[in-house]
Amino acid sequence: MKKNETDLHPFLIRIWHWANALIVFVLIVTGADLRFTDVDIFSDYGFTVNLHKYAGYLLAVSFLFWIAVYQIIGGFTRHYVLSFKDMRSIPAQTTYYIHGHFRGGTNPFKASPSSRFNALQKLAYSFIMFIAMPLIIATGIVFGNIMDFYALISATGGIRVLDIIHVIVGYIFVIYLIVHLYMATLGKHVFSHTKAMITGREE
Amino acid sequence: MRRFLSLAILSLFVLPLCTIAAEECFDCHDKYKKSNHGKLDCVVCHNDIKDLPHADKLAKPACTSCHAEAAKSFQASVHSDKGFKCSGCHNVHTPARDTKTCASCHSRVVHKTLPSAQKHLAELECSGCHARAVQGRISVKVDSKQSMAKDTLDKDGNKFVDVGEWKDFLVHSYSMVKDSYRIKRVYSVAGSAHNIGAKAISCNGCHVENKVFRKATLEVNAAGQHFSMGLDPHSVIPRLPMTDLYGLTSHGKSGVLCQDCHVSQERIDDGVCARCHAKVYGVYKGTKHAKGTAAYCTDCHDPHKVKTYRELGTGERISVCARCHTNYMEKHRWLPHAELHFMYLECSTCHSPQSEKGMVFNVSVGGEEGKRKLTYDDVAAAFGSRKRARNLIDVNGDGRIVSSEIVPFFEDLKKKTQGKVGIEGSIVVTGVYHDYSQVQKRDKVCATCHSEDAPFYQSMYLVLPEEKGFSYMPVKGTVLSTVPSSLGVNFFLLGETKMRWSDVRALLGARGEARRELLQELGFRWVDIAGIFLCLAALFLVCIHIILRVVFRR
Repeated sequence: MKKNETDLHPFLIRIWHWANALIVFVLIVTGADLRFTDVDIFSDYGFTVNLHKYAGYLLAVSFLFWIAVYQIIGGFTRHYVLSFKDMRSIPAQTTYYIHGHFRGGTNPFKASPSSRFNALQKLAYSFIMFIAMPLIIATGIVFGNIMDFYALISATGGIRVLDIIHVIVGYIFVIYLIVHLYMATLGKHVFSHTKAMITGREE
Repeated sequence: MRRFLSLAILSLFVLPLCTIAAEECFDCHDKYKKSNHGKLDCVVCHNDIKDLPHADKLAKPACTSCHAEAAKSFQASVHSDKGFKCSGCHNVHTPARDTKTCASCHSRVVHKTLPSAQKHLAELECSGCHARAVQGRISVKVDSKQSMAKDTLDKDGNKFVDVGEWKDFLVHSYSMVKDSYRIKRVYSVAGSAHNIGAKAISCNGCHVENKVFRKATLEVNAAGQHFSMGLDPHSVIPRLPMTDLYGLTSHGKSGVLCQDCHVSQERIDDGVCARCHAKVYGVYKGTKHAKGTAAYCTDCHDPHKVKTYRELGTGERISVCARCHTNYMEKHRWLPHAELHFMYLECSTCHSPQSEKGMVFNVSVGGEEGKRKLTYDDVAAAFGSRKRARNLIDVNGDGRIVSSEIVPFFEDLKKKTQGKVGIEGSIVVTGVYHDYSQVQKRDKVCATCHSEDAPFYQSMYLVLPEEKGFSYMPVKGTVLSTVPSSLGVNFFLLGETKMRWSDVRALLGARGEARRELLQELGFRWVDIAGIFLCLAALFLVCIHIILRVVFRR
């Protein structure tokens, strides 16, 4: 380990991150294939449906794995729950991304093993992991087993309501992914953050 | 009184002395010696003869004096109605064998209208079907070279063989005893030939209501064993499932008689059906089902069913195919939500692509007592008038329902019925094309149905109850998608759920009122438009950021 490097991402989190990335990629591709009839990625429709379905179940497993890992390594609240101090740092962090970054200013937040994410990251990640992820997993499981949840679906407005929740959250994931992939390039170098997510060490 | 009794006693002794003996008559009429009534004195019938030689013309004897009961029966018969007398069949001066039989007059009756005529005529006398109040019995004898335990027949030990036990016995005999047994059935009827009705007993008489053969006995002789027991007559008289309701079937209603199809005891083959259903059979005969006689018409269609195929629900239609295609669920594992699809779709929807399809939307209301179909009383109570439901929804009366009409109607209905109003959609095959050979050509593409190009899109109807019957209002599926989800719209297909480029192009191309209508009919597809827009916006912002980074070399 170089002198100016810090151990930022624990091994289990890195494993989870890349596994999750693969699953989400498969889900977005198959999801688009299923959603848009003009898009024809896999010619076998049944294969696409099953791939989407089982990748969805894997996403649920991956989500549980993520929770379990944080129970082991600790720091769940520290990394994801927005503190008062974090809230006060939001304007400065936003200004940095919009303006300061181009003027050569320094990032007001310095990642450390005890606090890996800045306030905006915390907001985005906690929304994705605490709201969007459970919602898309739950609707996905219900969607995959409609007959088992028929009474629940009827009571909550029918299948099209269920469908629309699943799809809206799907779009949120896509938008998040666009921003997330781009933000990953905002490190010291373009691939600094990506490299850190592989090696665990960030300069 | 005393005088009357004395006269009676005197007449008992004196009258016989006055009788003319038959032998005296035979002096002249010896040819009548061998007659049916030859043992009687002639004057018993010709009681106007008091002395010999008798008068040239004698009064006609009254048969009723001796045969009162037969005469009474005869008077009620169709022969009496037609003006026949006893002498029409009976000549009292000839031997009994010369009495006319049915065939003496009805020699050319071929029983064209009797199904399986040969079998019936061989087993039964004319009076068995044509006489009134016939009583008959059936005697069944089983002779077997092999020994046979009683419980082979009478499994429950009640000394009576019911239909199920008899069928089991036949299966047992066929498989175990094979050729070493013989079953003889004798159907005997004791019907009065004097009381012939205008119409013969119906098929129901024996085959459903069991009016004639109320009893049957079974006698078994098996390798020295001998036993007998009661037998359900329907074991040997097949119970026809539908004769009593046949008039209600579509065949019955259109005047098709039993014998039009049941030309023999053999199974009805497709040729019989093709005589009337030539067009359908023309399609069917070249298909996979018909080749190699994999399926006869009657394998799928029960002509004795009151419900026509048109009236069968989705589940009932599926069960017709499932008789052979038992593993259909397994074969449809690829289909997302197969069970759900099979709640609304029948096999022909996909497997007979050339079938005519349509969609109907029924309105339901749910209260404390559960969900039920909307009735006209509900509509009248909700809107406070006896107007036709179609006029209540089609406000501008153009015969077409648009989103601005359907939404207020259902919102008002919901408010006023104070219950949960729902719309239940189902796809129906309105005209089956009997070619199911294109099974391999299915494309497994959801958009075949889940798009506006779906085949049933051209005939979609909202079913509304009227005072008498129903109104079928043509409606576009996309119009229904504008119905608020709070109404519990129990269908999920149509163009509303799958966004297509053509939708976007149509939306961009439309102007004014047309665009407004298209926007209203977007349903939940707006999510895709908003979603794609936001994704593009995010990409745009990212691009701006990249450009700025390049410009500022960061």
